[in-house]
Amino acid sequence: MLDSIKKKEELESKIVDLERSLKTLKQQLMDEVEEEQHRDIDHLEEYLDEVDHRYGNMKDFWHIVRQELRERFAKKKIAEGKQNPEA
Amino acid sequence: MSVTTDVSIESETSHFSKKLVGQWIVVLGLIYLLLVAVSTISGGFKSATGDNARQLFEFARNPVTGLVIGTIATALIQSSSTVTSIIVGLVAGGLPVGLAIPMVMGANIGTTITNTIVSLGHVREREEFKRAYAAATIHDFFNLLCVVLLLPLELMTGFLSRSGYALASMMSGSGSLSIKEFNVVKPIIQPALYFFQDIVLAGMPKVATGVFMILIGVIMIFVVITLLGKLLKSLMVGKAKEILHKSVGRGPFSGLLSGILLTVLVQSSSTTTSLIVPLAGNGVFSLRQVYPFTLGANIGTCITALLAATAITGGNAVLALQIAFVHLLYNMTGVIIIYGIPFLRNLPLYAAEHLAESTVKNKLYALAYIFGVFFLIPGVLIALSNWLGL
Repeated sequence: MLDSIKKKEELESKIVDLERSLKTLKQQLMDEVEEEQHRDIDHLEEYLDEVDHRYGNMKDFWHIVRQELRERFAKKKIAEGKQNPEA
Repeated sequence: MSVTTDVSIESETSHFSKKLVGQWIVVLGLIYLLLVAVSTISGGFKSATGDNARQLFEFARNPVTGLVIGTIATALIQSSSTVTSIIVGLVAGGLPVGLAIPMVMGANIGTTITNTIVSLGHVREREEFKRAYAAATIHDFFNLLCVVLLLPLELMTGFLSRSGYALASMMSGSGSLSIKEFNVVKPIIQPALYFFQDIVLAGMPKVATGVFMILIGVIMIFVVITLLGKLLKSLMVGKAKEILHKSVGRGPFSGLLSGILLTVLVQSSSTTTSLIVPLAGNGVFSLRQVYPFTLGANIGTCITALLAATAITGGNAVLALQIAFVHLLYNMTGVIIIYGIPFLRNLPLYAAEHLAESTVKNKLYALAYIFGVFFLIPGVLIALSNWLGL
């Protein structure tokens, strides 16, 4: 009986410790995330430049879309070739 | 430290201060030109249309047409500040406020094309692109939801135009911005207006004068707002960092306020919302964290239309202020209702995340989305409404 009560108390104490540790870790994580956000904000000038160079982004994007389209058509042709080997 | 070094530091500081003062004088000059441009459009519209403004804009009687005009014009110019300033000038010149309201709503949608284009720059990194694209399109989905909810409500109740008129009446008093009955705007703007009307366009027929004045005004607004945006970006970047640093870790309301402040400082919601894209793309800010900041940009950009409205004097001053206040109230109401109700708040989030997920798998979705939302669907809606005879 006494052993059971002692064990429960130990477990409850461990749970309290774990919860305290979890809270501390969450706080540390939040501090780390906020620190990273502050560092990122310090690069704001670079991000402002991105707005001015957005048309360059479209060119890049179009180049990648064309590549993907070519790959898709090539895969489709191979798949069709496999389905109709006689052709 | 040597005397020579002290002197050179002092001369550099003095040169820097002079440059700063010079830049701020240019900002003031550009604001003056903005007011002149809005007045020019207003005067030009009155000359060109006389009392026939309502008939001239009969084609835009259908609110969908007005919405589409606002969307496409803003998507092409990529500046809602330019389009809303032009609308203020047109309303002051006789464009009915009821026709202008859907155009203003359309301008809100059209302006989001800029940050969507900026997000395409992250296409090379899959996860980065997904985050950046979601951060850009959440603004689109919010604005679309705003129109879906508030345009029918406005058509049924006129709550925006009535509230806008009430606020404008309180502010404009005798019909022009006055401080204790002293009209501060008119004597500043009038010389420039006379220059256009009586010198540049002297001898031309009234309608032609009006049309040219509108064209000159539109070009001026576009140039002024572009230059103002560029100048304020470089002047305000330090302040912008300060505002963002202060908002870190402080919750959505702080994010909303930061978005408003930043947009007021740089006079461009496109700049503010486009800043969000790389911040979110890097994964440092989550979509839920950038969301209220984006909404703040919607509200902050209303300052330009309010500023433009101060250029209008006389009987139509209250109408110009009315449409400017409608713009502000529309954005504030949208934020309060959509962000305030959890179910509605999450809709743009889910839509943006799902679209980003699909776009990462197939990049064509991005092109289809831009072309569809900003050009194709508006065009189809106009054609459909004309066919239905609305």
